[in-house]
Amino acid sequence: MPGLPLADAAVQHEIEQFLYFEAELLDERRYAEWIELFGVDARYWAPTHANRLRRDRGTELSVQGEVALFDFDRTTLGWRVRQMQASMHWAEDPPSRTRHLVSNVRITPLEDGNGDTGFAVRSNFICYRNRLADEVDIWAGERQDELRRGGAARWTIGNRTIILDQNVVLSKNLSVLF
Amino acid sequence: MELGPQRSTLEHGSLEDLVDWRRGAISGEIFADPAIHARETEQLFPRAWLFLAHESQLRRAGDFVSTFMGADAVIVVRDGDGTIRGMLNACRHRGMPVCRVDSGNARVFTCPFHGWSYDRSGTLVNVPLLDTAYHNELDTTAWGLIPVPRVASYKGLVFATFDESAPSLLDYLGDMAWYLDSMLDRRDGGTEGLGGVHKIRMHGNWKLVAEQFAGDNYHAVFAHASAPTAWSGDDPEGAAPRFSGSMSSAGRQFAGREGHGTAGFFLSSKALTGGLRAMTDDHRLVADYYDATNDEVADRLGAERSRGPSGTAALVFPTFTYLEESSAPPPLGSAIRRGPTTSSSGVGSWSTPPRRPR
Ligand code: FES
Ligand SMILES: [Fe+2]
Repeated sequence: MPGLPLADAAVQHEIEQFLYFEAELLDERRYAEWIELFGVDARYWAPTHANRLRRDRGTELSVQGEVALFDFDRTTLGWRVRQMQASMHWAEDPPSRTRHLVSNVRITPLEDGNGDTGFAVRSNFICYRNRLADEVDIWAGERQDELRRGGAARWTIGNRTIILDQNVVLSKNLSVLF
Repeated sequence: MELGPQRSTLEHGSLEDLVDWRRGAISGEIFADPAIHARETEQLFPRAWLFLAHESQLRRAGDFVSTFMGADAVIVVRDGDGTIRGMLNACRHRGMPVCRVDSGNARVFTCPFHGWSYDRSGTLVNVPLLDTAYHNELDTTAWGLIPVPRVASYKGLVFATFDESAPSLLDYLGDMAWYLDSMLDRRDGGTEGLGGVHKIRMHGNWKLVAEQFAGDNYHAVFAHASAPTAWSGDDPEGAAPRFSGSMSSAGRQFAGREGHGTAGFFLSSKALTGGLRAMTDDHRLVADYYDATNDEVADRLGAERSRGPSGTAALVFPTFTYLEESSAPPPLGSAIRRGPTTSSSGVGSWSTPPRRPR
């Protein structure tokens, strides 16, 4: 099949391990370590996801500057992490039980190089959340990450876009991180 | 304990018994009793003015959004002559929704079931196989989409009611318009909606939302305590103490006889923008904006409303709510869009800053 991109096996392995490690930090609520994975200019953004006619495809997702589900820069994402750890954060006290499953990892070199600076990484996720006595949420979606080499965990997340495959948000809140 | 068949409170009492307004006490039954919900469905939602859209979502002919009025799905569309119309989103043939997307631009709405098409004014303009299926005997003029009889705007916000004899929107808003103006009429050009609607399902009776926005500012210091902590950590001089400090400054509570309500603070300009300046560059931009436009707004609305109300939650009864926060401008509007059923309702949120020059 022409055009099927084949990432280097070692890079593929390394990046997948990084994403699994990141998921572990989230599921183990090690948010202080998790935030360190993000670069200083990182943007963490989840657009809204509208129902549109097929002829209007390409307009389902809100764009930057419009309404979003998450719209953090590194500073405000840091606030979010601090909020997760705050003693009076009722939405997450008691904390949710989450399992982030990451798969379908697709890797292409960032535009400014052949992979020596980093990669555009798309991955699919399912996040299972179980909360309080019997509340269950399952979110599925795609993450579009810009991963750059460097940092304590070998890779730094430059930007993250989260495409949530829901029109109406079906959970009571979005008090977890993706 | 004996578990008998569920009985409605209405069977052995009146609504007045459930609401003791002198003591400010209400019965939990009003949130749970299906009989009360049924009465609301018959007597409240068909008569009240309900929020539909922001005019900026309907700029061009054919622009439409789909939403709900109570339990009824409706399409809101700008017709070729510029009129904003509302019509039931239910095909006159067998009731299928004719529009299943959130928004777009259309000349006709075509039912996916048997293909009846309706134009922007709701007129039935095409029936497939009219000759063989109906022997050309169907009076298409009689089967247009059912119009929402009254649609009216207040400074960019589009409302509608099913009740032909309802008071005018302006009369219905009453004194609430004074508060709405501090969000909608700060500057020439009014407001615009940013793209995207944040929709979430609220697991609870619609009146919990209504009551919340109408005046429960009390909860903010406690329920949202983690937010200012997030901005500033546990710094004793930081945002958290300032946040609770601002909540103990003199505020104002408004309750209108139509059911509207709001509460908020009229802070000094310094207090209003000081909190923002302590946050991020983005927040400082907003503070600069407030400072730069303060005189202009004061000329339009008076000095008081140039500075507030801020930290505001508000309800235009029964389903339009908004927040106007000095910590997070631009104002956020939300509405109970869908349902309500007894125990759940859909909520949509918009962001409506002052309109950008174009
Ligand atoms: S239900 Fe709409 S065309 Fe038949
Ligand atoms: Fe609140």
